[in-house]
Amino acid sequence: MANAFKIYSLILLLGILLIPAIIASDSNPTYCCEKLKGTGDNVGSCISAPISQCNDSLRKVQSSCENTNYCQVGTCFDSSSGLCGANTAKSTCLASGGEFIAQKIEQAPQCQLGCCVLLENAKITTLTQCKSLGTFSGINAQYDPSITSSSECIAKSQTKDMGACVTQTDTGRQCILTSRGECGGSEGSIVSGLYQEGDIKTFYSGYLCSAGALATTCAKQAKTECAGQDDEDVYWFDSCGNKENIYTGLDNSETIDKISDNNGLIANIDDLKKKTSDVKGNCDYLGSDGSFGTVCAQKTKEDGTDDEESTKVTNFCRNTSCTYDGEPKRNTESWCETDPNNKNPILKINSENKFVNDSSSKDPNTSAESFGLEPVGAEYIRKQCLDGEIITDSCMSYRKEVCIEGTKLVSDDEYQPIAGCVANRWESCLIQTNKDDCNDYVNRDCVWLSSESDEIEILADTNSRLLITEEGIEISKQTEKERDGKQKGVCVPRSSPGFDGTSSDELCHMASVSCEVTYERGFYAGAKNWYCDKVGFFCGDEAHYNKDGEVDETLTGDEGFKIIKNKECTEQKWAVAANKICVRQGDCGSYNNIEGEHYKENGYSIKASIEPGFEIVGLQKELNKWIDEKE
Amino acid sequence: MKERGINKKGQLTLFIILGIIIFAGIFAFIFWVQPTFISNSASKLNFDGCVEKVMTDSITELALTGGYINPGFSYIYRGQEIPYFIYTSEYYKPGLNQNPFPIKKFEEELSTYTELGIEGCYSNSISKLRSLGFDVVEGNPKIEMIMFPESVRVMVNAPTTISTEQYQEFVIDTPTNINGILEIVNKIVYEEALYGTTDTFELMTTNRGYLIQNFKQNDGTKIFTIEDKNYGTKYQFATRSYVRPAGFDSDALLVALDSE
Repeated sequence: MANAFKIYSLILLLGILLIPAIIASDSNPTYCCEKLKGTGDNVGSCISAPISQCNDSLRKVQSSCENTNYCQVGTCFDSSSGLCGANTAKSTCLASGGEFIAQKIEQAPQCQLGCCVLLENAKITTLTQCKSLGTFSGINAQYDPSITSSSECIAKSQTKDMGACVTQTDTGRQCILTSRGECGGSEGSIVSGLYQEGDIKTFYSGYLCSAGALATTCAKQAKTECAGQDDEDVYWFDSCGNKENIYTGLDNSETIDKISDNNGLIANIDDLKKKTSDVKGNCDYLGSDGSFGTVCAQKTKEDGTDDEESTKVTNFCRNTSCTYDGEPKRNTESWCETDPNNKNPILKINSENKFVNDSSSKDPNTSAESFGLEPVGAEYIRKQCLDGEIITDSCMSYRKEVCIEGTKLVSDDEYQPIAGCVANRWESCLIQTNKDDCNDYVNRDCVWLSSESDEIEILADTNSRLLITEEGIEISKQTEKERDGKQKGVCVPRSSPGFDGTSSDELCHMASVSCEVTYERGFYAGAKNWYCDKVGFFCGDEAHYNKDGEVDETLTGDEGFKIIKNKECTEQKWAVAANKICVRQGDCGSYNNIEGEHYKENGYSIKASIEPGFEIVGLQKELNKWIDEKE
Repeated sequence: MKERGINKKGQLTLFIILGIIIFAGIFAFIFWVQPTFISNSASKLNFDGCVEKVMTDSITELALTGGYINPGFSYIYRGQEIPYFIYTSEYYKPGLNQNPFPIKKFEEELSTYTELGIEGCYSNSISKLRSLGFDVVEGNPKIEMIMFPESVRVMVNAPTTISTEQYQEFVIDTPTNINGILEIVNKIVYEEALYGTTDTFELMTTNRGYLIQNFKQNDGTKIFTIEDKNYGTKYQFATRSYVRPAGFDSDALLVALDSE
């Protein structure tokens, strides 16, 4: 081996997408402008921009806004309304007439949230906001800072002590349904099924205004209307306009919905459900128990009428479900969609918020190998069935966002499919060097392609490298055995990012793969001439090199080199494997677009470290074969 | 018989005299004493309908430009200037709040935007009354506005005398759900400022009766539209927060990696 001669060949499989990168230049530095130029009070505050865009008469510093006092970021509080503005610069806040709090909104004491109850209405507000709402509506608002969940807050409003507030007048006993606090009258009593004479204003806790015992001017069950939380259910209303109990059903043959009447006492839905399993006015917006969603609506001719039902009942629970591609969709259910040519599986997370796919999965729809292969131009959208209509929402273009599917709990033990557009956090994939870091879904959206797959195996076996250094980010030796002997593999984006044509070169370079091939001079070690033989890999048929690796056309001979290491890198299989890594980095390499057209020769190039380069015969054919398999 | 006839004549004369005295008294009271009937109803001036129309039209118009008469710092979307409520020019960073109190801002802008219209309603009404022959003394209207959860109240303080009636202030309530829309705007602004993302589907589930959409632009700007299905009012504003570049950006990438 004394005469062995090594030649180091750098082979690049390079993704190319036309438009050169725009490199940020210091010739146009950015300033933190207190305000941009412009008229009016909305001109843009605390914005990083070239000095020419800054308002001349206001402050500007060649620095990030985070480092300036005038653009210090905190919370803006409006003491009159009690509202808080998050992430507000000091100058913007003061200009808006707010009080600047140098804390994040979650920490600002004035912005802590609680439950504000205004009679039957409840919402999550700040304390000041609650007081303000109470003043506006002339109601004594009650505030509970210990309740911060919307559902608990609503439940609290429903447990208020409601009853009939009866006022004795010349025209009879007038009544409104309200809370004890709002009524303010004396406590009324019922004896032997009839009210006892008392003060002019009397409160009968738990009674409906139409209760016979109260002998008010209000006749029971005069009409139905949509009421309750978000007007979801069908309720009876008396002739004075007071809400009664939920509608349970009334035939033409009956005059009173007796179950709902409940002997003139206020009843919640659960109470009435104990008396009848079919509470007709209890609509189910989200759908459960086989229902796909209903909501209270006014009856129309189109809806058809129930001949058996009383004409007093003018509302019903209208179906809010949808049918999509022949499949029933529950109200508020949402799902992901993408272009027909995008065969990338839709990302799914389970009820524990973990991605369903992983490197160990053998399912072609969930295995790591099935991800990151979006065609150029592919985008994601999500759809939702809402109140009987299907609504579309696009995720950010260039796959800056991707759609994921999961489930949400809609009742005690029932989950409903939901979809969301989420940020595609692919950026740090390439620098991950082990499977656990790569699959850390809390911090990034990547998958680990392990050496169990053919393409990674060949790259690993040949010590192939992903090697670009960009702006201080060194990405190298990703698949080198020595680096991580136990976890040979490559970390790639779960969903390949799309390019807008301004930065593809840079990223595609990152995906370039190199392989070092070692040649040994042939048997005739004393031969004078150096050349590449016909089966050689980086030299042309007629190219000839001297011992310094320079072309010398005068040289001839029959002796060649023998590849002693990484011969695989000179073959189609290696190039195809490298391309598979390449296309996962974005719109790089040889792949197809959403129209099904192949990006062929201009999607990659193969280079050697010495001239005149080389080609792998029949490579594109092999790549096309792989692409066709993916379609 | 004769006595009875004299008595009857006397009674008649007495009634006539009493009638004249009463009539003269009323006449004197009206023209010399000039009683004051103070009312805050604008219906006498046929004022309510005009103001309600001004308010409704103005709310509809202002809502389309995020409550700004002059949107200023904005994104042009379908030919319309949509003001940024949250903005950063940088990648991977939270946007800063440009309009911390959208409700208050809307109220201020609406007040400015409708002032001329409401004054016009008032003066047109005065002119009409004059043309009908009424003697009208008009005041210098001062307008105040309050937004309630389900209406906007306009209070026009304009001491006005119509013949013998005096008015001090006119109060006109215009039903609108703009407050409901603005509450949703607050929620979106909060989410976008802190996280750069808002689930419009979830918002629609919890705020029924609204169509909430999010039109994402290539530069990372999002145009939010909130449409009240009952009133038809459509509110629009733009955000730019936690924007990611398309593909690779060296500087941005460093920021992203640092933030991990």
